[in-house]
Amino acid sequence: MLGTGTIPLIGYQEVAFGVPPSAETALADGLPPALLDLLACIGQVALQRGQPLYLVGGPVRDLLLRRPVMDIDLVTEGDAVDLARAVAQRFGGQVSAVSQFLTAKVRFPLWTVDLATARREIYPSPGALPVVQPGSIHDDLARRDFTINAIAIDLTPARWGHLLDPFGGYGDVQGRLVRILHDRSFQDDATRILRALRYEQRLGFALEAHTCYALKRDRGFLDTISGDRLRREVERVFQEPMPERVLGRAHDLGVLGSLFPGLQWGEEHRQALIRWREEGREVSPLLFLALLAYPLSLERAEALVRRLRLPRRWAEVVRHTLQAREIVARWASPPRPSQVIESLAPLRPEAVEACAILSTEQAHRQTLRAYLDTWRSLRPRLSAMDLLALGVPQGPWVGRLLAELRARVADGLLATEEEERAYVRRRLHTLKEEP
Amino acid sequence: MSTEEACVVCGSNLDAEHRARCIYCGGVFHQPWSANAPVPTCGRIFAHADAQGLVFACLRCAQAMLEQRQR
Repeated sequence: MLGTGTIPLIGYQEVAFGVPPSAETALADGLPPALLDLLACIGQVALQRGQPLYLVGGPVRDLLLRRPVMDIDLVTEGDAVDLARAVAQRFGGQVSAVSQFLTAKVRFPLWTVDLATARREIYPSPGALPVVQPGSIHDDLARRDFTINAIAIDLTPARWGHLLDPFGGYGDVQGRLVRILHDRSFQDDATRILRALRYEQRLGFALEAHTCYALKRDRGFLDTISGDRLRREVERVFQEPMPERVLGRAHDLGVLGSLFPGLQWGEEHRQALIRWREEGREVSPLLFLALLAYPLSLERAEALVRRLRLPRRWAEVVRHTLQAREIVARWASPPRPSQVIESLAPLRPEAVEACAILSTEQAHRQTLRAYLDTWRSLRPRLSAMDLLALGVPQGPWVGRLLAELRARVADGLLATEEEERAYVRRRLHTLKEEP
Repeated sequence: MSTEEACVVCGSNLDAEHRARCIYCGGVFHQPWSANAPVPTCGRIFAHADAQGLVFACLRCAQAMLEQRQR
């Protein structure tokens, strides 16, 4: 006997050692039979053309994790576009989205398959787009971001289901680790920093120790990424099921501050958003932009708009958030509902929501919730047509009177349609004296 | 007396190559070292990222250890 009892192996992770097992079972369990048949047929066509065919990247990772597979990404050594055309012709698909990087989509009635030529990438300088050349499947796996995304399943008939795993991705799937393929990975492409955090939080993985060290060391390389690329990565964070987890982790690792100085997702953000979700409220992707913008100064907010080259709607969210924050800060005593509506109605709802979440005054938070839940949707019972029928002249007066009615309805001064009509009739007498 | 050794997990005979010894019970079990090895996997392997330690455990002991760790 070498040991007695059972000592927990603290700090140890289970690994798949040696050659990983066949993924044939994972394929059979994770994909519908008809799709498996289609992949087998594509593998057959590829074989006839002398081209190895592999399922690669995210779908392989998700198959091994027994998660739903969303995309079918295939890689072949050789011309993928020609193979796509041959496959489409043989099985009745349509080829689209042919790109300069030798990639194509084949649309079948039930599925769309992405086919790419195996390629190698060379990064001329940090943050620059890579130079792409055709290469082997090993080159193709070597250019990928993390080991869990650098696994391929062979779809060639004789090797069906064999796992190609040159970087130990299978072990990292088992050990639930996000690991870069080489030390300079984040320097080559710093958008991988945000991707690492997204995978970690979405899959419930952890950053492997050296990956975590390299991420913190290289977070300054986010400066090398263009505004458009950075914004797209930030948008992907906002579209995660729980963006706050990614943002919290990014804050803790100093990534948010490297992304843009002043961005934060501290304890205050975390607790406030938990309360917001507990109230059963919707959380839209752009709300996270508003929450990030909330503490910024006007100058920093404008710099953020420029740095991320924010499109009009995003920029509006940032600017409106600061406007809403200033409006709310000026509320000395509880404002009337009509005042709240008048000042906040022109602003985007995400901006008001951010204030309702992060305002330090409880009374303000309650007022903003009342606005979001009730006041903003209040309308007078009378319509524009009713006003015209009552004798209001066509033109700006119709809109102005509707706004007056709305304000009085919100303040509880007009409780019935008849009271609204009486108010309009009274106003008609005074209209002539007003500009 | 037979010179063949049996796997402590599945009881079938072990070959000279595809085997490992359990850190807990000291028994020898089937551990395939290649993709097409004609033996079952009767153990689990654990690694320590910092210590670079590698530990082998037969399925029975590994299961008991993991259950204890969860507790």
